[in-house]
Amino acid sequence: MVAKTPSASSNTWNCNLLMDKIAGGCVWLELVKYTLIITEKPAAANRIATALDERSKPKKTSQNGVPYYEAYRGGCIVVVPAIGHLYTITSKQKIRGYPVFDYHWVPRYQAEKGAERIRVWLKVISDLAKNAETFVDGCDFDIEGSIIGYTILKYACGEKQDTAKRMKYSTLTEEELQATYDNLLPHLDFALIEAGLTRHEVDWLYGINLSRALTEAAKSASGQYTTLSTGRVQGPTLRFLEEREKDIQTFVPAPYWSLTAKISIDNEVYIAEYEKTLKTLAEAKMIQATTKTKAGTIDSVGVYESTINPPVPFDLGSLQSEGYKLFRYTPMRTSAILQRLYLDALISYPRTSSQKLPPSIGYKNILKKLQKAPAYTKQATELLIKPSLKPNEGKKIDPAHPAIYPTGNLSQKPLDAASKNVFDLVVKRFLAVFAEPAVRQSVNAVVNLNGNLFRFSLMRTLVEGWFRFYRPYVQVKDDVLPPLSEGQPVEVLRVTLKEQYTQPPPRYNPRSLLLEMEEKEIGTKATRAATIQTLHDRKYLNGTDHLAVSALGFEVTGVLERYCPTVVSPKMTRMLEEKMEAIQQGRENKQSVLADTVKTLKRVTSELKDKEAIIGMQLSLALRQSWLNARTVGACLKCGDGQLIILRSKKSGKRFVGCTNFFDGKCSASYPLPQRGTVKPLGSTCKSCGAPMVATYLRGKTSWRLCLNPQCTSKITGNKAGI
Amino acid sequence: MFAQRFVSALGFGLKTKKIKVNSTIVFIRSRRNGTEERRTVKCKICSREAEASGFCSLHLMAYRNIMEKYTVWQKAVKIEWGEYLVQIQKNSLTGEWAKEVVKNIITGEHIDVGKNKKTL
Repeated sequence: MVAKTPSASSNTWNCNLLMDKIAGGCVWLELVKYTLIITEKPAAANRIATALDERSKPKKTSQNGVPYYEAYRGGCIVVVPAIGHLYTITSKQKIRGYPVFDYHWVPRYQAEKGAERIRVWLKVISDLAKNAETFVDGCDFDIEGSIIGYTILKYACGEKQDTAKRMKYSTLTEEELQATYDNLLPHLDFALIEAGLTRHEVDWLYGINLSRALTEAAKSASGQYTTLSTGRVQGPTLRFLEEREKDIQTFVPAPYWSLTAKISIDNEVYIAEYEKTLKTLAEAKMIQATTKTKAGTIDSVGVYESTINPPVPFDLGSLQSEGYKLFRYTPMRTSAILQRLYLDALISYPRTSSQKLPPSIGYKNILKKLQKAPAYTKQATELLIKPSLKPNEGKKIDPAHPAIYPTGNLSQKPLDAASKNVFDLVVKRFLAVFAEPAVRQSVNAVVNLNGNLFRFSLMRTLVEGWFRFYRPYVQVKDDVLPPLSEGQPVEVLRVTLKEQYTQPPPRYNPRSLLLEMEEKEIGTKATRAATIQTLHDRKYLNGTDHLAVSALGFEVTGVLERYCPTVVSPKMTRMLEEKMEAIQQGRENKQSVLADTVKTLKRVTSELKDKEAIIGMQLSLALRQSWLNARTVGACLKCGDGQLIILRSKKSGKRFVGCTNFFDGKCSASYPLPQRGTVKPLGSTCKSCGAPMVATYLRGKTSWRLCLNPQCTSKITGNKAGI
Repeated sequence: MFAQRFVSALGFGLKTKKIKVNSTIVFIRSRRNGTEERRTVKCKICSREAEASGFCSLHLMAYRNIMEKYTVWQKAVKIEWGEYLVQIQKNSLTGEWAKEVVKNIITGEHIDVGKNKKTL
């Protein structure tokens, strides 16, 4: 037992000698006993092995493309990564259909096409497990990480889940990983695992049964197979969007009027607004008539000071939201960037809902490291000379992890622009939370024009405080404040009456939808961004910035609302979230939650089955519309009232664009299309000839935009600027 | 009145007989073999199932908004019904479904609604 011999140096020698002498695969591993650490991702395995190895040089071995690392730290250690979830849930019955209530956990390659790589991966893990003496779950300390580790230990390592130890860390820095390994948790967090398994199983039951019901219904009516999906989180999320879209599409504006006065004080021009909005034109005109004067007086002046506290540390949701606001990165993109930064040990674990920064993370140590980066030297130094450091924390807590913070490590390789932006944001937020509050002064003045009161307010910063630490991510306007006193005369330059209309509610964007989901407690911090992406993938949404529900999205929500309203109710999904929270705290058990789920689904699926024909008809119409929309290029240039759509010739099999009026014998307009790659309508017209445009995508090549008209002047002259 | 219009709109001729009407669901009994068939009536504007008003739930919502806002417009600018419809159709803030309903009313397909607009 090499790992148990007393001398660390001789152990290193023994271990490495064996490694060096016996080349290839894990032959040496048959001769020694070791600790097997399972991690979530290959990058994490590399980082853990490097941190734990006494020489910081673990040996990387690759077996059939599966990497694992051999390290030495008081004993031999093998660190093997997973590639996310290696096990998944699948139905026990082979026949496709619904309802499905019998399921089991299986390796992913048994349930998913194209997951063959998992078979090799599991084989390597199982081989490594055979001679391992101790097992350690080194996956991220959250629900998903716990499930990944648990399923591998249970199924691939031969029921080692009860004896395995757990690493709990929030950053992948050397110091924290070493400290974690030296103080391993004695067992896995079974309450967290129980809650995670329940979440997976409940979501699977909802997803498979409802999605199959919709897909089968549409298929039976249209004869064509299209995946239609919904689920416990997807359904209520789509409903938010649908309700907002209804409000927008049925909106009728109402008129109102606003009066603004342009006034001059000490040769500076200010805009003052009439104290209330005017709901009738008659009243607006009457007030405008009475304000026709060249002079007014200041009735009152109010000076106020307000303290603006520093922002709170980032949790995942608020960081995704800020990422969209500042850089227009979708929540999904921000998540991916954060994951990369975390794996590079530049920031702490990102999938957290905490807004707390405990002193144990070592504020001063992080600031000292950040001080070395020229961009942060000044601010970090300023904070370090403070007698004490106290972050302005938010209310949200997460028992597993603190808020997102920089580890202090600086990237050894240049970061791409997006990662640089997000990293800078995380660092500056971290610095800002320790800074002093800012103080702003506002002056509110009331101007009297012939008895009509107009108001204007000006603001300036008195104490910059945390603003200095968070620039350019905080933008405040500083006005020039003139000396103002009551009774002071002002010159009136112009009074303008403006007709305005009430506005429809704004469409959700990825940021506001994320915030809404968070507020209504739908989904988890880790799954919300992915849910929004799924709604896009299923073509339930149009647009990326302003999310509008498509006709298909409306039909799917309509069907669910009519036949199984509980499924799209935010109340139901919130209740389930509460139950899962209760499981985590030991107040509820998995079996009872699953039994409730099955009971609900039995009722819902039976209703859906009874109405399959009607539902199918509704969905197939929407599907047809969705297919047509995806193929519609634009209005026909020849006949004017037809639509140009992408078609395929029955005779030659070639792709072209034709007019819908061709089928009525009214129009014969047609345009050729490239035959290779994917062609998608752009929804815009050519600047040179006004013909609709399409985009062509070829694998491995840059996409290009194409004007449909072969006679377009831009093509003849070779001027591509017009396209 | 609506039910009759729906049945005639569906073009059921001599071989069938309307037996009962429940909202927009029309049950048709065949005179040949006596079997009943359930048919739904489509919205005046889109292909969705219509409610008793002749509009689907979405266009009905738009219709109700048009009616409600008319009183606001009347009070604000003393506008006539026809002029109001033209104004809101021109307005870029008006929702697409509301515009479709306005077009439907203007083109006379639903012009009687203008007179009995409180009934829906």
